[in-house]
Formats: sequence, structure tokens, C-alpha cells
Amino acid sequence: MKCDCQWEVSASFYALISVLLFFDEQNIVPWALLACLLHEMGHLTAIYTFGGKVSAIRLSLVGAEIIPIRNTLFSYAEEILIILAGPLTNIAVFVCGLAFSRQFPNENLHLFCGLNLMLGLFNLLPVASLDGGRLLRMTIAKCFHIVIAEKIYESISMVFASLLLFGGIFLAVTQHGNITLVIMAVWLLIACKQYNLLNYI
Amino acid sequence: MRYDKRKKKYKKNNTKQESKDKKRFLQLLICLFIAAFVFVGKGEKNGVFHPVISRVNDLLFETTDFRGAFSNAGKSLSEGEPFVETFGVFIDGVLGTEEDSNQDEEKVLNDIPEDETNKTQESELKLQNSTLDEQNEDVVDELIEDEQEEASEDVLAECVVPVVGPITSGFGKRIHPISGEWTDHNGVDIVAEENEVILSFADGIVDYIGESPVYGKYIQIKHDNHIQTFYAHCHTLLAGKGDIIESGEVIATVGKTGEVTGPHLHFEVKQDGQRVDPEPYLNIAKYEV
Repeated sequence: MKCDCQWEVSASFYALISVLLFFDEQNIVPWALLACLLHEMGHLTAIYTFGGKVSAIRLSLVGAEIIPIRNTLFSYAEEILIILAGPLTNIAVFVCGLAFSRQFPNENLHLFCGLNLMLGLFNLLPVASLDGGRLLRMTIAKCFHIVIAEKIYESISMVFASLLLFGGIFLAVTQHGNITLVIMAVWLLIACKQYNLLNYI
Repeated sequence: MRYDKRKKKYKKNNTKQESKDKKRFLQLLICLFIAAFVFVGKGEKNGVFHPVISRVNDLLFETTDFRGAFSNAGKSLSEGEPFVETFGVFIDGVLGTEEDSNQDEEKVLNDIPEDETNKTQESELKLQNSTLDEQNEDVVDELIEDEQEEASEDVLAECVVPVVGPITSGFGKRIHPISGEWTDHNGVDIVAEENEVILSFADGIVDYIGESPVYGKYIQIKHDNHIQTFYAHCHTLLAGKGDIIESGEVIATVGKTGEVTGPHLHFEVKQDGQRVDPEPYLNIAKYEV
């Protein structure tokens, strides 16, 4: 399996990683990054299994994006499996970790299981740059004309991310919570905007 | 003809550029205005700003235990606890949501368990033996004061020991009685006869009941101040999910379901979803006859 793909890393990606590592007092970020790595490897494995080739992998502020070579055409089912491969890898790691931790309980193992589970579930949210969003886009594109589908998809993404934002602000203000959800929602909105911008190029 | 087209295109591009410029200028004005507003407003000592700023600082620097939230989710699920409840506890842990806005109560409730348990037990023993050193007098005075303060708090005044019996296995690292390996014990084991009644530790609502291969029949009750108590290896569960329970009410009977060497109650206390040592809580609870 010859890997001649390009790596594109944006400056904001380095900034994001630096900020996360800086504020990480409990040593969670390395485990989280490992979980993300497994997630992307799940996607890659699925792509190569179905005979695709990867032209570039782009790491940016809004996450990791795998760009297959232009002329690879996957069938509908294959595309769905490729998209699902990421979250499913995380959930599979979670399940295996659970079984393992029954015999050998270890705090780091529990942490890794929790991270994988939450990452897998998070990616299934119907917002632009997440796997759930891509699934949503595929389903909508099947039902409507591509131009309308894109518009519907963008609005659903924005609405959902905005809901999370308002929910986060509401919780933070009324229940003295922290701003984790707010930051998450802002990040998702930025990802939506990036998606919108890229579409009009 | 071509010239007209070019002229039109040039004019169109120009107006596009003009509107872009206008937009940029407007943005600049707005930002300048906001900056001036903040500059002036911050100067006022009794202005609107300072409570907002201190609130924001609290939000940003409030230490949320992310690692604890994630690893507790993993641990709870690996021991067969129900998914939805674990997820709810995880979200609460990550977002730091509180139900009571009264933060003082929580601080008082946290004082005793966070003190070194050795100190608590030592000073209580010294009280019993009535040999007080000068060194310990202050500690004991503090503890008495704390206990009196807490006695006036409704939550703690009503705490009841679930089952009266010797604690055969404490919280923390221990050799597992069945597998023989060093593991973390999540709670305490209180020995009692089978079918003896288990009383609720305090007022609350039943979070969930269930059965798992490890814990046997279990029940978890949610109390105020983000405290939950968990009772496992029960013979019969006498309350259902969502039941409102009073302190000292019978909720189950002692059994030997699950992985046990004999009939006992496995009692856990969770603070904000994380398991803490139940013994200090048991020490300040009263015995119901």
C-alpha cells in the first residue's frame, strides 16, 4: 500500500494543539489525540479497502480531513461505510477496552474508553465537518437536487450548532456550568462557516 | 459593443469593491465604538462590568475535572451500570452543572470527606479516650464546630447508616476476595445477615435499579448537593426508579447476589459522579433503631 498522499497542516492547527496542551493539566490531550488518530485510521482503512486512494490529508483548526483522489467513485453503500468507519472504530475500541478493563482495571484505560466513546458519539452529531454531518449530507443529496440539498444541509448544520451554542450559554448562566459546551458550539459554527466558504470557491 | 460590456463589468466590479469598502468601514467603526465603551466602562468601579468580569473569570478558571468525568464514564460502563444514567452523570461532570445555586452548602458538605480521614478517625478516637493533646485540641475544636455547623444543615442532620455491621473491606486498593488480584474497591463492604433491611442514607430520589453479574441487584439514590449513594448485592429491591425516598426509609434487603463471598452490603458514595470514601459519611451519620 504505497502512500503518496500530501500532508497539509495549517498554522491554526498548530495553534489549536498548543492551546490544548497548554491548558491540559490532567494529561488528557495525548489520549484524546490517540483516539482521534485511531478514528482517522478507521476512515483510511475503509477507503483503501474499497480501492480508493488518498490524495491529501488536511489538518486544520476544524479537524482532520481526508481528501480522496478526484476520480475515485464509491457506491452509496461504500461511502456510508467509509464515513461510519471512523466512529465505529472509536466505539469498537471502547467495547474492547471495557472487556479488557474488567480483568485489568486501570484509570488510564477507563479514561481512554470514555474518550473513545464520547468521540464516537460526538462525531455522529449532524453538523458540517463531523461524520454525522457527512451522513446527513449524503441522505439529503439523495432526495433533492444537489444545489438545494447543499443549502438545506448548510442550514441544518448552522441551526444545530446554534442550538448547541444557546444551550451551552443557557446552562452556563442558569446552572453555573462552565463554558465547555459554548466553546464546542463555537468551534462547530466555525467549521460550518469553513464548509460554506469552501463550497463557493 | 465590446467596449460597452467592458465598461459595464468595470462599473460592476467597482461598485462591488465600494460596497466591500463600506462594509469594512462600518466594521471598523463598530469595533472602535466597542473598544471606547469598554475603555470608559471599565474605569467605573461600581459599573456593570465588574460582576460580569468576575463571573467570566469564574467560568474560565473553574476547575472542571475532565479526566475524572471521562474515566468515571469508562469505569461505570465497564461495571455494567446503565448507559443513559452514566451519560447523564458524564455530561454533568463535564459541564459542571449544579442544581443548587447555594454553593456554601456544598463547601460545608465537602469539608469532612476532603479532610484526611486519618485525622477524623484519630481525633474521634482521642475524644473517646479523653486524652487530648494541645496539638489535637484545635483540630477537634474545628471538627466539633464543623459538625455543629453541619448538624444545622438539613441534608446532613438526616443521614442514616444504611446497615449496622462491621466494615470488612474499606475503600481503595485491596486484594479482591475472589480473583486474588490488587484492585480498587469502589466502596465499603458492611457485613449483615441475609434479608436484613437496608435503609436509605438520606432523602433523595431513586436514580435507577438493576442487576448485573458483578454487583448483583443494585439500587442508586440521588441526594442533594450532587451526592449519590449506591447499594449492591441486594437480595430484594424494595423501591423503583423515580421513587421519592426519605432518609432512613427501607429500600432493599441484604443479599449475596453478584460476585460475593458472603451476604453483605456494598455501599458506595459518589460526589459529582466520582466515587469517594464512604467511611467519613458513615461516621457522621446516625443509627436508626
